[in-house]
Amino acid sequence: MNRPVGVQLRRAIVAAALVIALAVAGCGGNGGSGGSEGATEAPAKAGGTLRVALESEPSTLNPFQVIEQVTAYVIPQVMETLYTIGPDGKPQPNLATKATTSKDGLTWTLQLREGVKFSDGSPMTAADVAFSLNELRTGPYFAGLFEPIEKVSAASPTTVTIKTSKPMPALLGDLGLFVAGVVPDNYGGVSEKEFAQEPVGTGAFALSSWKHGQAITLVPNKQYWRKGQPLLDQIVYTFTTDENARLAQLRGGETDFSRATPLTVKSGLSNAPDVRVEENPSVFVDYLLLNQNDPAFKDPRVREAVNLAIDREGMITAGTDGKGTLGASFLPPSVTYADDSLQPPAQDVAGAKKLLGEAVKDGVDPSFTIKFYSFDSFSKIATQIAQQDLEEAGFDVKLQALDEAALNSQIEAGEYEAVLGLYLPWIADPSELTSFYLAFYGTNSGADVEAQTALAAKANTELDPAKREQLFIQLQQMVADEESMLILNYQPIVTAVSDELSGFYLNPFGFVAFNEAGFAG
Amino acid sequence: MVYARFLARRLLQAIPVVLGITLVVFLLIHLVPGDPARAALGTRATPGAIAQLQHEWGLDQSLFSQYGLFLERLLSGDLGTSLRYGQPAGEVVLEVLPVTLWLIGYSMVLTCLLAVPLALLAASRPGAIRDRAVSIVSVAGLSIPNFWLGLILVEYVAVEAQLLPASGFGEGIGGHLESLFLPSLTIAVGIVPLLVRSLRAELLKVEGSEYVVTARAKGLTERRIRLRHVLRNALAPSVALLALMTSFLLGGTVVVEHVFGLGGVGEVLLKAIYNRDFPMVQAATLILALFVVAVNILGDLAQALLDPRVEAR
Repeated sequence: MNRPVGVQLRRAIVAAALVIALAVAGCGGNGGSGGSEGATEAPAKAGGTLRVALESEPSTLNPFQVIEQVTAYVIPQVMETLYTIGPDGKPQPNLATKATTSKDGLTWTLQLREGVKFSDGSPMTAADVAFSLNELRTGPYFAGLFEPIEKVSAASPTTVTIKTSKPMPALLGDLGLFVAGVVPDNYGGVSEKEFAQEPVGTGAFALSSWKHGQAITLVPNKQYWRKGQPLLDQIVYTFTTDENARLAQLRGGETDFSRATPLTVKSGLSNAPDVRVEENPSVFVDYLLLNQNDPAFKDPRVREAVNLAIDREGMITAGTDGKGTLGASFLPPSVTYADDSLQPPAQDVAGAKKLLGEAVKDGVDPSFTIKFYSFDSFSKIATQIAQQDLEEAGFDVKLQALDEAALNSQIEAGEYEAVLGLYLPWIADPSELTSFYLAFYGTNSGADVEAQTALAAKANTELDPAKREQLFIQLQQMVADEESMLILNYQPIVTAVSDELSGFYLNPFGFVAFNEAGFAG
Repeated sequence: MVYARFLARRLLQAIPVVLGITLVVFLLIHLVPGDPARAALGTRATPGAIAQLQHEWGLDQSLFSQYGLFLERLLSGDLGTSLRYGQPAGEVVLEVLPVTLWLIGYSMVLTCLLAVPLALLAASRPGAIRDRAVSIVSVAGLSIPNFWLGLILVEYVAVEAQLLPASGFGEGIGGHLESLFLPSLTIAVGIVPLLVRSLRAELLKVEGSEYVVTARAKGLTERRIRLRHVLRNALAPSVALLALMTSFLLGGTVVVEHVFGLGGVGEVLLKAIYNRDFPMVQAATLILALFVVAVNILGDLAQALLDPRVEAR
């Protein structure tokens, strides 16, 4: 009855290869989300447990090492920022009460709120804030954004001074990033690793337990400075990768809040009276990126032909259930200075055919592959529409789905002809998204980023808001004119929640605070 | 004594199998495009931060020395540290292993509870309507993809009728039995037909054998003949088949854990592949491989115990 070792090994290899191949080719399911202003029809009462279904488990609760956007649903409950971003996209005082700048714009003085305590009972001081800001600006993401900051110091127990090498008009907005949380000086004496597992902050909730793979549980912070908050007795986060499984939990009454819901969710919820869908203003940007290092896309006629051929309206109808918004700027409407007068050309397949025909005569190869993220349901539909339109115009298009890690690496290495994907701004000020666009998409698509970078640098240090706006509008036009990054539409974030839940505000940049949330009485 | 020697030999044979699996998985996951540091930090990270992380995680070393390091650690019982979670990878996998073991065990039990009566029913009168009905049901069960069946069960049994939870592992033994019923049923439906077919064929073979004719001639009751003589002898090959099917079961659990949001080893493995969390992939595969090898050995052993003619070689 012994099976030869070879057979067992072969079976195991085949099984392992299948699992990996399937995972990479994309049977995945994660995405980003957020929401809109919580409906507040019914007054919330105190008490109750809020059960939140996230699509994956955060890997750390140290705000400065945050990797996944999903962490934005946990960290703001435990840690607070100096400023928050209001519904109008403007910074609002939070742990800081006032900020003043010197005449040259190079020195900021931040006044801190008094009487704020960490959940361990120790008071928050300027030393804690200075430590936090220094950790933030040296973290893995924001070295670029906070590069002008030269020094952060505690001038008095309630005053923090920030010295910069260049004016930073967007500083307060940047401090509204959810990862800009205030933590105790030197992590309260524990190591960074320990703090990442057992964080302490000034937020409305404090960590009660974190059972890996199962749940994160938060309980009210008894030291919280906003009187009468939070209302909830407990928040329990669970992790369910599959979006349909998350939705089933919500409809089955097993959770109250389902993150990252597919846009076409409404039809699936028509028979679920206890569930409501919250829609956020357009935040996600769907794009088709053409790689100019590819000989065909080096030819501006071919890029223009693609731009003319694709049916964006069709993508919005089929892929977003009509929820998407048309636009051509790389900055979505939720970002300050986004130019909504910038619109894509009307679909013109005949015009595209003519342009491509000329290019093909000059030796251009009209066949290419569009790569896309397997987790994104919009991309699956949009790529098929694009393929059909482009083939009508004379292109020969293949589609390839890849998981996030694989496709990101290929974009970075320039190993693609075209990518259909999406991104999300992190703050309202355009500086963040601009630097991300230039460093990642611009540089890796062979676009002429030199002039754009110079213009962005000028805009980022311009103190006069009117002049700053003009510079950003000029930049958006420049990116659109290049026709390398073709914007398809802006998508809302859709979140499904229990109808009993109210009193929460979903920040347009994908995070939420539950300090005022509660269930209907 | 015979059994001890048999066990020892099988365990020794398992070593190259398990090592082979780790090597193949190691090479496969490294062949796949996608860098763990980039996967972890996302598109927003600065090149400096990525290079730093690659160095921290030892990804700037050659594949050969990375695998060497893995083996070296393995010998001291260390499965490495998860790149993503910064926790010992073995611990993370062992923490969620009960979910997967429960799921597999439960599926096995449901499989037996469904397959044995169905096979007995079919074999009781070959060619009759009941036999054909069982075979039609089997073909249906075999052809339904388990992810689809899982979604249908969630939709109608859990969400619409609210009879059972739509997902999760539940609390306590009662909770596990309740929460895991639908996922286990989903898995069982896919393997019951294979078992029914094998068991039915064996039952018919045994039914025609001389000792059954003898037993009947001796005037034993039909019930006693069926349970003591026919079923026992027919079970042996099916037990081996069931053990063999654990490898398929594991593949099934990856899908079913995903559909039902169970968060077992399959889900951890899938997530680790997405994240290119190499040590985690290695740890999960190694533990699953050990499990498959152990079940196969136990299956052979059980078969030898059930049927003395199967030599414990």
